[in-house]
Amino acid sequence: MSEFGYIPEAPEQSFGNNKGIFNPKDIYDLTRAGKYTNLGQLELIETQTGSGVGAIDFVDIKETEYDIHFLTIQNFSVATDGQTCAIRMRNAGSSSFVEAGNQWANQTGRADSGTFSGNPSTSSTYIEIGRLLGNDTNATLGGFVYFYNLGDSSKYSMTSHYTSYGNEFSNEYMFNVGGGHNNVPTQVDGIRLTTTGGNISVYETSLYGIKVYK
Amino acid sequence: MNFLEHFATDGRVSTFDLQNIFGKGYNEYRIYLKIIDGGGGGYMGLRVYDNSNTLVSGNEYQYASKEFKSSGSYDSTWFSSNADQIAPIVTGVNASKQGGGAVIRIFNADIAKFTFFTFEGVSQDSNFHAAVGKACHKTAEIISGIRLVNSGSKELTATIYGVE
Repeated sequence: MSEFGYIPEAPEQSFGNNKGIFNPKDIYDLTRAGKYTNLGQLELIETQTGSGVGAIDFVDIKETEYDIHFLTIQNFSVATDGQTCAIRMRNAGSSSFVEAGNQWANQTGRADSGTFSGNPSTSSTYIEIGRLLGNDTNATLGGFVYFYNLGDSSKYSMTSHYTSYGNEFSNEYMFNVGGGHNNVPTQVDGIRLTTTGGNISVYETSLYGIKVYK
Repeated sequence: MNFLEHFATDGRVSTFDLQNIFGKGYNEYRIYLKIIDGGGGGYMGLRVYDNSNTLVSGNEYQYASKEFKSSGSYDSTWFSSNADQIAPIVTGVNASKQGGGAVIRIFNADIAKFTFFTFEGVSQDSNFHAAVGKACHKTAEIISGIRLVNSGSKELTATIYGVE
């Protein structure tokens, strides 16, 4: 209380309009409430690690909060030699991931043969981000995938990726670069990281939102 | 990754200027583009503004890019050692409101060296397109901004970050 017996009200706080001096707990509480101005964060949505699964699903992706999502993948290995690393998306309101009509176009490069190949598809059960993966535990895949417009029902949900890994041919180095979409302009509320045969033997993957301040 | 600025076009435009966006001490600047409406068609190129805010439209650019299409027939002819712009940031956009986007990474903007770029864009024509490229503004000078040049017109947003 001031010497005049006046107790001021706490100012209203909102993103882009903070007033006062904040201690760490204030910042923590306001950040969790989305009311603390902290520009330019790559905001973590979820991290998943594990082994021995057929697919990794992100189903709380906050698609309407971010125009662009960013998926990192590391230490990703398949149990069966020669498999594909793939993305599927789930249309909002659906209980399943899209397994028909996906389009993608990518380029691979192989250190063992010096071969550079274009790999397109206009009707696939997945969006390819890596092919001919080796199953050696030291040949794990690492890379990233950008997702555009997942929350916009009027636009295609598009991906853009880079991955590197050891391939099925003696685990020689291979890269894959390109992108794709699920062929329907619609809102997407889930992302699946999977392989086309056998299990994922090990994985570490994180999904982020890239905050756009307008 | 530190947010710097956000820009949006007023409807579809043929040029989109992002000026005075550098000079903030970052080794890398990263620009995220979102295609709101690509209905004017065509591909997108890039030019730089020098430190006097003059657009560099001479033959000072080199690039090596490739266009991927889900329908096949990849285009490997996107290269030049003597060009008046960098291309293509995105390609094949001729359908309205179908989305897409791109990431552009810019190195050496704040120092008087060649400026280097990497970029990857995705878009939709009658089928899916991707563009991947590396490029150089081959003049040793500080740059202050860029111009995105649409061969058709596009409605776009751009969000700019400095990468620490």
